[in-house]
Amino acid sequence: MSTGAEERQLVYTMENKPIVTCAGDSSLFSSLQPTLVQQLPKESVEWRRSYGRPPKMINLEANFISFKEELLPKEGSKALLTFPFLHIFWTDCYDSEMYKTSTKEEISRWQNALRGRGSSDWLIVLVEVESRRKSKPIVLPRMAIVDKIRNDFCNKQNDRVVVLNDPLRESARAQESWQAFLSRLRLLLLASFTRNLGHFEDDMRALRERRTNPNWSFAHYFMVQEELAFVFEMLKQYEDALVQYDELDALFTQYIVNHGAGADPTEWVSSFCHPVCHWTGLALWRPIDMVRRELVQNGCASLLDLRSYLFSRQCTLLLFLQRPWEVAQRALELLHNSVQELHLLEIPLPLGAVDCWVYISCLEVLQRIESFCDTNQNDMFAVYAAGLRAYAREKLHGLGNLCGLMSCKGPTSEELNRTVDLLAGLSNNDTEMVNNLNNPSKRLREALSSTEAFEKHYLELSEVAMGTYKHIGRLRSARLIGKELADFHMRKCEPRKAEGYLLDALKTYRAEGWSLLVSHTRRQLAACQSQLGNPDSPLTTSGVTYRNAHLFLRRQDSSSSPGRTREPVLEDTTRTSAVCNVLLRPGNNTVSLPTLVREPGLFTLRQLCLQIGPLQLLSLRLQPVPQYTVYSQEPQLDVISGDDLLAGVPQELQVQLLTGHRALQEGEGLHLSLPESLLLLDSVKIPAHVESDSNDDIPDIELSLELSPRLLRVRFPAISGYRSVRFSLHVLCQPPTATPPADDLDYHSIQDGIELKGLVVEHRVSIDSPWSIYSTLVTLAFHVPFRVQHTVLTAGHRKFVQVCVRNTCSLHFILSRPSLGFSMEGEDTTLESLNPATTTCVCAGKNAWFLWEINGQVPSPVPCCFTVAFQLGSTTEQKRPGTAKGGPNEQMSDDGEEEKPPRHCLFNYDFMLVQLATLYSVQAAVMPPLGQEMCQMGLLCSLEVSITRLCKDDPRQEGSGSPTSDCGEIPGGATVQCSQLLYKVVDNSSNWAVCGRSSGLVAMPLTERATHKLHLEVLPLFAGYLPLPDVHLSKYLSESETDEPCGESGRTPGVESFSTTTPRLSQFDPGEVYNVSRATQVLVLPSPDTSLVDITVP
Amino acid sequence: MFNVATGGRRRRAFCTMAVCVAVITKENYPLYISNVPAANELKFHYTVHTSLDVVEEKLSAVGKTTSDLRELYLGLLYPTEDYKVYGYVANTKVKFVIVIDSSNTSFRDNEIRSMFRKLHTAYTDVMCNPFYTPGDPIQSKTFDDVISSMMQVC
Repeated sequence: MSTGAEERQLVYTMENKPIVTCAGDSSLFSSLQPTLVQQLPKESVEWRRSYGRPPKMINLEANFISFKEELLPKEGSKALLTFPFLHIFWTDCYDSEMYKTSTKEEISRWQNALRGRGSSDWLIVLVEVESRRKSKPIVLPRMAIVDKIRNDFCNKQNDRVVVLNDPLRESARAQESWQAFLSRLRLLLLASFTRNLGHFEDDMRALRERRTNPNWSFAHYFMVQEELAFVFEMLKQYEDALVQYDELDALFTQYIVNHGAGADPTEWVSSFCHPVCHWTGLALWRPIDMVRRELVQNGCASLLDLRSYLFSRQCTLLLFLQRPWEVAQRALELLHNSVQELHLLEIPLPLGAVDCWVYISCLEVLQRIESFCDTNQNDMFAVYAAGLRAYAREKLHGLGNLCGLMSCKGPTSEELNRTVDLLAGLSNNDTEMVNNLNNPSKRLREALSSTEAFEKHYLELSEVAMGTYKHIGRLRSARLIGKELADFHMRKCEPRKAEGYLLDALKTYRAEGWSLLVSHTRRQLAACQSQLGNPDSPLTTSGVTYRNAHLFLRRQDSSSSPGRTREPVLEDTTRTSAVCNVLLRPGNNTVSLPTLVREPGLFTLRQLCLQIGPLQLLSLRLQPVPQYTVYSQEPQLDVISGDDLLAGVPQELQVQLLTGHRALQEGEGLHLSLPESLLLLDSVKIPAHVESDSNDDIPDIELSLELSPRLLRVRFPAISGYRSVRFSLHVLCQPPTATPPADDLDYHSIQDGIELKGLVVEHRVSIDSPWSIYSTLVTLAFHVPFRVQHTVLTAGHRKFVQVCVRNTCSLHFILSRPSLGFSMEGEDTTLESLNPATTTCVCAGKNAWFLWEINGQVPSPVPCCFTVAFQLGSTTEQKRPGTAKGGPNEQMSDDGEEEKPPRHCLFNYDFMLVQLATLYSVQAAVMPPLGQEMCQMGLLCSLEVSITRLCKDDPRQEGSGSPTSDCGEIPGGATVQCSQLLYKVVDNSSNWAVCGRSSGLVAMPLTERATHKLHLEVLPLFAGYLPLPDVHLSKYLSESETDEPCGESGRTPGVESFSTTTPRLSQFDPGEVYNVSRATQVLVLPSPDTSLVDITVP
Repeated sequence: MFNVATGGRRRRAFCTMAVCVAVITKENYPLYISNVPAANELKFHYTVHTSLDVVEEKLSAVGKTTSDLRELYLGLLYPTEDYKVYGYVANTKVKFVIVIDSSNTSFRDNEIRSMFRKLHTAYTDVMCNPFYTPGDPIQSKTFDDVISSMMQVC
């Protein structure tokens, strides 16, 4: 290991880079050096590590120095910092002759020197300058020199020669060769690091294993491992460097513990047991504390010296690693641990010396971190910073105690002597340190110099420590410092300053129920207050107060409840309630405490306070908690309608009024605006039921109603607050005049403010109340109880209208006086009712049917109106309000059959009647096969179809847009107007198989009673009564026919339009074709069974 | 990292167990505090009370990160020069605090954990006693015995 000034110089700057020596042509190298130094670190390379350590990316730098033999490490040297990791030989020899005469010799000498010291890390660089070569004739090919060098020196190590092309020129070729050279250089450097550091580490481990040898020196080992740390630091591998120090730390700690535990006494540990005479604390502001390092190296370091040095190095590396908080965290551990180690090794120290050391160290660490970043900004630091500050404060407190700086009388002579001793250990020869104004050691010396200075420092530090604790939310820790401050002020005879801290602390302890701490603090407070000259005050804090009897009320949500209190404490409350001059009699006394509460909330009775003369009795918090809720309610109005209000039926609306905090005056009331079609059935007086929260029996009242058109006034008598008033209104909603089509549930219309949604009529009722300027809007949904559907039925020529009324609600209705009429007058067509004269009862969910026959032709379509009177069926009589009497606006039917006439309401249904004349009738019949009486399964039967035209001309021809006529050839030669029909025989129920043709075209003459007969063959597939197969007719439009609405063109013979539409089919409208044999069935016998059944009789 | 041979012979034994054991309610008032030597009672009360700061800090930190099962053992709450204070919080937020003398360097984390478990079990037994009113200071001989077994000098 190199020693002395040289190494010290090296270590001091830490500007080190790995050393690379350069031999050969020095002028050549000098020209290249700037580029080389600049380019080398530009790219990072991966450093694969031994011992399973993860690979790292590293940017290499090097210090290139001229080769000298003295630089080569001597045998057994452990120096790493000065170790040359690579040797480079530079030459630009281009001439074979020159190589032979001089260069080869030079390289050879250089190699021998290296080999002599066992150095195998070398590289030969052949610089090739284009211009120089060109100036002279080329004697030998250029490669020859390289090959010669390889031959002569690189035994199987071809990578040890590099050619650098024209390095000073800016060319792609030069660039390329530079890059190749640099990457070779990096690889070789790394290989050298790996090998040499590997050797070093192996040696170091071997040295560590020998630690049980009696003459093993920790100091020596320390220096060896630190050398490794330095090299890692040099390579900017701070993590690895830190590991070295951490290992040293752990090794040392373990030795101390073992030593303390009485394991084999190790001689070198004893060297750390020497008395400590300096306690200047940590010094972290220099990367390497050379003074302490030297002490460690020479084995004269005290325990504190070693710890200080080790920590300063760890701190430096941690700051390089950007982990300042870890410095703070480790510092606290270090300080606690060091103090323990001092005890463990029983190192003699003057009283207070440890305190000095810790105090200075804490402040030093804080200063170092604060210079790095703002501790107050970062909560992560704040936790550690708080710990360090509190620790420093604690130590300063101890020092103040020892040196008599905390009493108001000042230090005694013994205490002064002690101070002098302590100051001696703080003397420092380090001029740099002394010049540092904020130097903690200097501050400590200042603090110990006088009581005033001490007070200033101590109060300042305590405030900061308390502030930090409060900042991070450690209130209890802050209180404890506060108590120490109180103690300090008491000693300084300043009870006034102490009182506040003690009161704060007492409050905390009391709130959390720590009785021992409460009584201790109380005692201190009593002493404090007695010094303040107020003999009464101590009692104040003891929980007995001279005040009026109180009942404390507190809103529960106003503050978080403090912990369980174990003794009576006068609680903070928001409200009190008191009675005075209460006469207490023997036995139970009931005292009511009146209180006026002006805000809503939950109120809890916390505490009772009883005062009798000068005596005051205070209860514990009351358990179980008596509490009451105070609320304030706004008046509230609700209309409670049942789920299903029905239109056309008297309905009851329940109105509920909660008066809340507002009492109603006589004559005040509600104004309801009613839509026109909503009828009120009530008379001028209606009863109302009044309730209150308390179970008082309140008699019913009567409300008066005033009805002007569409406005109802409800007048109330005087009603007090917090009452619930209920009354019923009976209304009738007229069914809408325009009932939506039965199948259109999305039907939506708005008429006169009435909204009709599907089968629901919505009425908006607005209610004005005296307590609000806003109207209450209530939407009442009345369901229309019926759905109506109509159909037109055909029987030959005759046409019928059938109306189906479906009861959609759950009540029974009686329908009477159905009527159907055309909305338009003046037609000679009549509707003949086929309905019975009696009433019809329609049960819930059932249908009622009504039928009319249409006599005569009607223009189609024509608007029709169906009307039926309805009333609730007898089974639902109870649903009808019994009190209902005929209201002023009530619409009633006038059939007075009964004494109390049932309320009839009319239900209207408007629709468009589309009636079409029957054009054709189709009759089908199945005939049994010849010779058979009956049809039989499996035997072909004939289907006779006859199509008859029923009307002379087609009333739908004009304007209908579906021409059906054609000129057809009728056998016989005459050209008659025909319309072509397509017939199709289908059997959807698969009872029949149609054999042969099942469809075809038929030309029908446009004359009445024209008949066309068809003969088809069908095969019954089943036996039994089978419905006949269906015969469908549809209009056949041939290619030549147009779709144009001018139907005349189709009927005029010879006049044909020549549009090119393809033939197509057009369906007849319902009612145009009458199927005579619909629903006819024919009996089919089963086929005779001719299969044999073998029956074996045993 | 290093296994320095100790030779297994100890002249001085530092196997004082806990110097103080405390049980603190959810509301932070003490149910039980026992300490040796008894003369330092006040100091231990202050130490344990102050440690609640860190307990609360750790509990709130846990609440922020995960909602799943929290580890009951809180670890080292804070070291002082003389003591190491360890914490443990039951699911009912009842806190256990054990104070170890700092000079006791042979202590392992596992031993502290097992002490806490023992303490928790003993506390559960106290709670199971029908004659014990929850929230009252613990006065149980069995519990005392468990605690003193933790604090005995070996």
